[in-house]
Amino acid sequence: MSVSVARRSVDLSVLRAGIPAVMAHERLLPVHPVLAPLFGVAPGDPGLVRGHTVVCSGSAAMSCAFAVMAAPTQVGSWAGVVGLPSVGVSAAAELGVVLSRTVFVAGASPSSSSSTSSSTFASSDMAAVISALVDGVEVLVLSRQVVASVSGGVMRTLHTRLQSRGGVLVLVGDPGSVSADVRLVATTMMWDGVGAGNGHLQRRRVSIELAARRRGRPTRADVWLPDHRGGLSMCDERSSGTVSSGNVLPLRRTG
Amino acid sequence: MTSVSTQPPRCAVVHTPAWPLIAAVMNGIAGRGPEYAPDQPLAVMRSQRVHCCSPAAWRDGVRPGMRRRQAQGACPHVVLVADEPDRDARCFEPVVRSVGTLVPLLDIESPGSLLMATRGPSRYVGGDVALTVRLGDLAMAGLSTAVAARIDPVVLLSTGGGLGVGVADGRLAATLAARHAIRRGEPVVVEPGSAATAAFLAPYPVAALSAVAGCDVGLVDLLQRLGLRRFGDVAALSPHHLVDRFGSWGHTLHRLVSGTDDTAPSALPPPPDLTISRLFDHPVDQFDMLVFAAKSLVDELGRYFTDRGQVCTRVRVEAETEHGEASVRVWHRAEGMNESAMVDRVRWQLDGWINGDDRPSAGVTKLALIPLEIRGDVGTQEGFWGGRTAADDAAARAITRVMGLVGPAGVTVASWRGGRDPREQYRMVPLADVGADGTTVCERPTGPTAPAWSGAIPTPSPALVHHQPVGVQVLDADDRAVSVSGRGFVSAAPSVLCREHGRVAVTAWAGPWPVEERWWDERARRVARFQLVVQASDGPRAYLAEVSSGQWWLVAEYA
Repeated sequence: MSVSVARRSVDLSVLRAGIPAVMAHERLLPVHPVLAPLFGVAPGDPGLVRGHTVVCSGSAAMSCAFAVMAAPTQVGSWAGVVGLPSVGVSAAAELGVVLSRTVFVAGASPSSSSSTSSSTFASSDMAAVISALVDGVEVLVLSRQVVASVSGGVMRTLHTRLQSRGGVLVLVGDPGSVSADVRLVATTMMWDGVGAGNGHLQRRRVSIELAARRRGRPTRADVWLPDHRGGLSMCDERSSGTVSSGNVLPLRRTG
Repeated sequence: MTSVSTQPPRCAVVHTPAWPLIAAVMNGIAGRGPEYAPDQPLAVMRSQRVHCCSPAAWRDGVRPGMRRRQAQGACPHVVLVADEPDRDARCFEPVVRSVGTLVPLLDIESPGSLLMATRGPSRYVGGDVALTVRLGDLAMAGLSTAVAARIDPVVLLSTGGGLGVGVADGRLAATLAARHAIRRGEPVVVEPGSAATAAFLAPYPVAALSAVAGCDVGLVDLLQRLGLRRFGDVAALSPHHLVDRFGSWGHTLHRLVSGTDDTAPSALPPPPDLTISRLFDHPVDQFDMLVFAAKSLVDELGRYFTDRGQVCTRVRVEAETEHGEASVRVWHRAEGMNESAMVDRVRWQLDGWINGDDRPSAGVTKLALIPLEIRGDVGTQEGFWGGRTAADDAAARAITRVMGLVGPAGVTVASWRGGRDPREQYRMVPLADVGADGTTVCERPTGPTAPAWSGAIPTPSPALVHHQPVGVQVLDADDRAVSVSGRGFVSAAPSVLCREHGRVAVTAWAGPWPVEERWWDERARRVARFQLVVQASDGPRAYLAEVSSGQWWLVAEYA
């Protein structure tokens, strides 16, 4: 008995020696430089831990999810977007998401249940689709409806698989039941550039609060999401005032 | 330059003068359905001019070369059909296949005209006359299988001016013989020998050179102005003089008109039919057995490709059940599919079909693999600076797997198309069509010189685009609906947005930006667009709204 235990311990040590050492930075995916301080890393350093689940919620959840997707796709990771039929592709591109490495999979959305296209399918397929995607893409973006359509057990299996594959799960909208590693709450503070019948939407001041598991108090930052070019930029105090639109005179109808 | 010319090859030509008309009728003339009245005047337009017309149209005065207005002026009820070379070629295919059962080596000069060497076939059927009869019968048989008893093939042929078969020495003489046969109503066989050929060609006007042999119209015009009106006139000249005057063209010209052109028909063997299929006597309903059968099919196909140093890049997999349900899917892999990759794809397709929700109701009776794209196996060159990474490969595998689950249309990538509406700026293309290498997707042009769409909403773009817009009401301060006049004036400043779950106050707005698009066709759209910022319970929210005919829609949200 004791011999077999000893042999097993030897075997384990041999096996452990065979496992390649994984450097800390290889377990991380990059984050947008503006979001880096929120994640507690220097701008330019990777900060998104592989295997983590990131929940983006709040009124700017979709843009926030784009901002999380952007940096990994720029360095060669693939992203899969499931069950978000109304995603604004232009906005994603403006935020830096590389579209040639982003695939969109249509999901069974409850709102479009009337449509009988082949792109909608049942929830049992949904679990299979997600688990197939987990194998290949490193950033998997799911809508709240997709998470709600699969059972909790399936979700936990997926999470385990995600951790072994080293991907990151990004959920848009708070599904509540999922245990998130990182919670990003993006709240719209104000919209800039539009007046009473004049101007156009230019930029939005968003307050992003990051609460991570096993981290102390949540970190918070004010950013322009999107800024006037559609990107993401830091909201410094100098430019925090409204965009000066000059002295606007209302149009007056003549004749 | 009087090189000893070899005897021109004896050729047979099957010719239909107005094949585009026949193809158009076979396809069903646009908007008229399959019913076809033989006395309906028809004309095919090419480059804004009448290319060919039916006998009925000819009787009413329509002539090739007329403009649209002239043709309609001559015959107001003429149906003008657009020119579609693809359609013509596709419809000609059954005729080619039917004639190909007798003569495998065919030269398709154009849809509607077949050229072949008669040496073998003529001896096989017992002489040139017998060959012409067989060719005519085969062409008719091919045509009648194509129309499948919908239309009488004889009536159909008369639309295109009939069908002629001619046999003569050389391409030009054979083609002219076939044209002559149409006028005569029976096949024309010109006696072999250079003297007989020259005698046959001599009375033809030189204008036939541009119509049949593809000579320059200017050259033909020059010949006519020089007083050389018939082939015989040109052939009577010394080839030296023609070369002196026209250079190398003169040499070709002399050979054409004297019937000594020895250009052989460029007959290519038909591409081998690589479709490989298996019929099961007992319907198979077990997934493993099907995959096993697929493996043997793939092995057979793979051996064929390996022997020829080729690789298949696109394959269609078809499976059919006893009850007629079918699963047909095209798989593409830019690097080529080896046996295991192909078996994987068959397995994914069958797995998604048989074990999916929409499973077939009976066992599978037929499994077929049809290679669609084949190229030489020259290997795959990897990018020098690590162009293709492990992540790309893993993603390609996973995505192909997902395609097997949801169907190829369910997995898409975004391709820039442009437009002033956020809904149409990007087109979602199935990844199966472009391949998962990310290089064939159109990117949005960026940079200072990138052209901007006039009338597009300036950046930033909305993060949520509703493809089914949400109907709302927008009211002014006095609770009256806000409207936009035909001149683009707002009736009052919007102040309240009413959605199905409550009212919110509009805090800021911009617009209207009128859009009047495509007023020339049924996609006409006349809307005015607004950006609205409302004060929701969780902070401000911004929307892109459209108003058309008094109805407001939320088309996008800046989420």
